[in-house]
Amino acid sequence: MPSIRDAGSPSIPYIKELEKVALKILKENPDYKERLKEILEEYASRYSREYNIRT
Amino acid sequence: MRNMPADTPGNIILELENIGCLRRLRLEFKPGINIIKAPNASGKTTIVRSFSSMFSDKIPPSHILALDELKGRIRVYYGEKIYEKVFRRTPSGHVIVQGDMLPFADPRAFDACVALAETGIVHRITGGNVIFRKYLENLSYGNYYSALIEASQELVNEYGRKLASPSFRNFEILPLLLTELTDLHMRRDEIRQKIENSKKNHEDKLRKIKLKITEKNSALSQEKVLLSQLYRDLSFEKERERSLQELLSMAGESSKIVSSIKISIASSQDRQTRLKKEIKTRRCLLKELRREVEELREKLRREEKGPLEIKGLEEKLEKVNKMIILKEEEIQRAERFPPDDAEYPGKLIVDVRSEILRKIEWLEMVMGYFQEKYMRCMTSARRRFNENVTRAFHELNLGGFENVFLDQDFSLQVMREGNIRQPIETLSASEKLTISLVLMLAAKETFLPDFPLFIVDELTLSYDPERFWRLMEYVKRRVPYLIVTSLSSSLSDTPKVIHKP
Repeated sequence: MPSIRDAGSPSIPYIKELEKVALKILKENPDYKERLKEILEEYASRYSREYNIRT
Repeated sequence: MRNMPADTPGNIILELENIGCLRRLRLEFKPGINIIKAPNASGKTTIVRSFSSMFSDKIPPSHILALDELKGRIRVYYGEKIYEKVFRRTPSGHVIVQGDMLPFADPRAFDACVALAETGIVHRITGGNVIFRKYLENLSYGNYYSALIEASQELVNEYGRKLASPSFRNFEILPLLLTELTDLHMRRDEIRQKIENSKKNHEDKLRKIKLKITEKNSALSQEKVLLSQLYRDLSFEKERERSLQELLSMAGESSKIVSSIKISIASSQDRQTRLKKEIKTRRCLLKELRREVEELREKLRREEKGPLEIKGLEEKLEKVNKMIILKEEEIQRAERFPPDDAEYPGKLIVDVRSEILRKIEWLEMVMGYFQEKYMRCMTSARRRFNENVTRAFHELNLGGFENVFLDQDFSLQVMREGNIRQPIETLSASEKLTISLVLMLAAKETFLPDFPLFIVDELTLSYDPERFWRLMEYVKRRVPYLIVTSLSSSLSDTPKVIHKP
């Protein structure tokens, strides 16, 4: 699993990784909002899960 | 896609079969200006749309295949290769498409490089819609960021709705429930203490009654002994009197003895009277003592059944215990999802709530990040777009316009000479067309600089030919292949391409 904080994103965990995945999805289909929401939810859950480990 | 004979380098050949109203057509486009000439209803727009479908997916396949055909084909010879798309109508009437896109295909090209009546800018300006935010979003990929922001916001809203559901609302009253439970526990402790005190007082009371009974019994015994002694004394006195009476009867006439005996008898009788009086008094006392003992025993019996006060307190205690059980159940419901909950069976609400709040926290950070990216992207897109629009107007030297640009709200501003703003809807048809084409060209130069085509479909009807060709020459200098459709007065209904290098 990649590190919680991506290099170059000072304060938002997984943001670079998310951006890469999300832009790939949008390039395939700009109207693929449900898939986008699934991805966002996965990352949000991951953040929430790992929150206690970090703090 | 397959290789083709290298006999037409630099040219693009478009072959159509059962496309729109065209059964079979072959057109060749050369670098420079290509004018497709044909009369009305002969398929000029069909050619533009079908060619567009080879580099953009904006036109649905069902709008391309001939209505009365089951199969159609578009073939493009470009570079040294052949690109082909086959359209098939399914038994249910749907049209499916298989095949290749041209190597320079880009979904944005339809909006930036194809000037049909329905394409982005033309449609906007002729329809009086001067807001270009969405248009620039799509071309600059700002729409990716806005889609991410929108999806994040929707998720945040969904989480917000979850947090407003009854389970979470109950959780919010948990502190109040816990306070109420604490109060109930305190009330229970108070009642217990009262019961304990009451029992202690009661025991003291019983002990005192018993002690009194003992004391009274003791007094009773003493009185009995005393009374018995008095009876014995009385009996003795009676016996003595009888003896004295006998002695008196035997004493004869001796007055001295008689007198002495009589005095003794009188003394005995007097003593007997006193004893009887004493006995009577003692008996009364004894009776009184017995009554008192009996009363104390009755009191003891009554008290031993237990005081009414404790019963009342025990009933209160039972009620409070029941309230505590109910309150604990209520707290449990407010603390935890039910085991049959669809989403969070049996989970602690505080944990789920924290989890959701953390998700919202992260999504809000993500929204902020993409908002910033979106703003940067759109600001840069607007600046570059405006630069290209300004340059085009200056180079074309169209006259009458000071400047045309998108303002901070992405609203199109047309400034006449003297910097006077003119509303779009008051422009003439040819001016609207000029602005549409200049904006499209600026969009192409800004966002699709390497795209090799620029197609204009029959927008010349209301146009000043001199100005139109000046514009086309300008486009030609920037785009390898310019394709323009034009109405022909020829009786021949087959579209033909006239090439102007």
